[in-house]
Amino acid sequence: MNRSLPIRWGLVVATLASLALIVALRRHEPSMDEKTAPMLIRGATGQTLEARNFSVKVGKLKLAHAYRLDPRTSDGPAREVKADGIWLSALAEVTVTQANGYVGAQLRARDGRVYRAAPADRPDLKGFNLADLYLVTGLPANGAYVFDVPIDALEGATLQFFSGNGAPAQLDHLADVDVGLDAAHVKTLLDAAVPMLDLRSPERAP
Amino acid sequence: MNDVAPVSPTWWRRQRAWLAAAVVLGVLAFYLPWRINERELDRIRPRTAIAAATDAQAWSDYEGARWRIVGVRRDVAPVGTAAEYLHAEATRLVIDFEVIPGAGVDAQRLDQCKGRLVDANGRRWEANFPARLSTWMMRQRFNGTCGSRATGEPATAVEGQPFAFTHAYLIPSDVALQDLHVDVFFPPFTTTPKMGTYLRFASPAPRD
Repeated sequence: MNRSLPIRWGLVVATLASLALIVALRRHEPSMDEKTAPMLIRGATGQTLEARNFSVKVGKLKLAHAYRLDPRTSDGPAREVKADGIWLSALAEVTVTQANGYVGAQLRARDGRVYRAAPADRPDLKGFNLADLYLVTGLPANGAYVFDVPIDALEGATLQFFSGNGAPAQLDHLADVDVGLDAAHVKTLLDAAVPMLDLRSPERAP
Repeated sequence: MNDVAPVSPTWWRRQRAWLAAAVVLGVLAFYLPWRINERELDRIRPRTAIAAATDAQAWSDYEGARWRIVGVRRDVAPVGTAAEYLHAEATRLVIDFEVIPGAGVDAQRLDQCKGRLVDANGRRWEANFPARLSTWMMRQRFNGTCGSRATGEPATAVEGQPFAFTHAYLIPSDVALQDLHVDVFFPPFTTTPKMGTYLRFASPAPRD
């Protein structure tokens, strides 16, 4: 009655090897965030980048330490909005291509720090500040995204654009635009940066 | 070399219950997640079209009410006048509807309805947006909600009686109007018996 089962060593080795392989693969498995990370598409200044629900073309950059804006009331004083770091404005043409909505932007510094575009109310440039601007499918908007960034974040930074007005969505396009912010370009922009850039509408500016 | 004895027919017969169970489990492993995913998509997106009657002025049933398009007009939106930014010349497409609520469908329910316009390439526009288009509608005394009217003489839809409302769209001037579809939908998780249904009209020719 005492029948012992023969040990099939080949099978045992194959099982252990399979288990080891499973453990190794699981350890190196990308995280859910990595698997669903936004999909980068890269471009440069002057180039039109086509993402899932928008296209974007970035133009000139400008630096300023503060902006002078139209008063809130017709007889009020002009408003001055100082940057905590420095204001970087990037002219851009954006179009939503599939469904009405927003196109958000952020500046990504070389070391990975991310600065979201300044919201529509700071600086309050109605229809020109493209952040939080509701866009209509097929009707391009020309304006600027504005970033309040530390000066040391400029060199090597890229501008990134995404669908929506929150954060870049997982599994969606993130358009990464190289705006040529090398050391020489940053120095040129800083030399040209004015202490106060007048952005008042023409009829209000002196 | 490698003389492998063929599996005997009796082996298949003896194992048939296990094999059948394995096949069923295998199919379920794909089918159940697919069904859960489909249900989730239905819950969050209006994606099942109910084709509206194609005859002009004919009524179509959707969500306990009867719907029809009674007029389509086109209006030129000069540069920069219809959205919150400096846009090129565009078109305001104004679509007049009538709805007859059925039993148990009140104005509050109808007010949940939304509209969208879809072209042949799948591009979509939301009814009564952007905000400046909504303001223009108010100035024109168009009623943008499906079950109650706040502009002009206040009114609400009543069971069995036609109620008029308007959806307006801001679209680029070069959009081909003959290829458009006009959709009316409710929050997708609220439609019955199937979630995520919408009523789709082929766009009638503008009468302007």
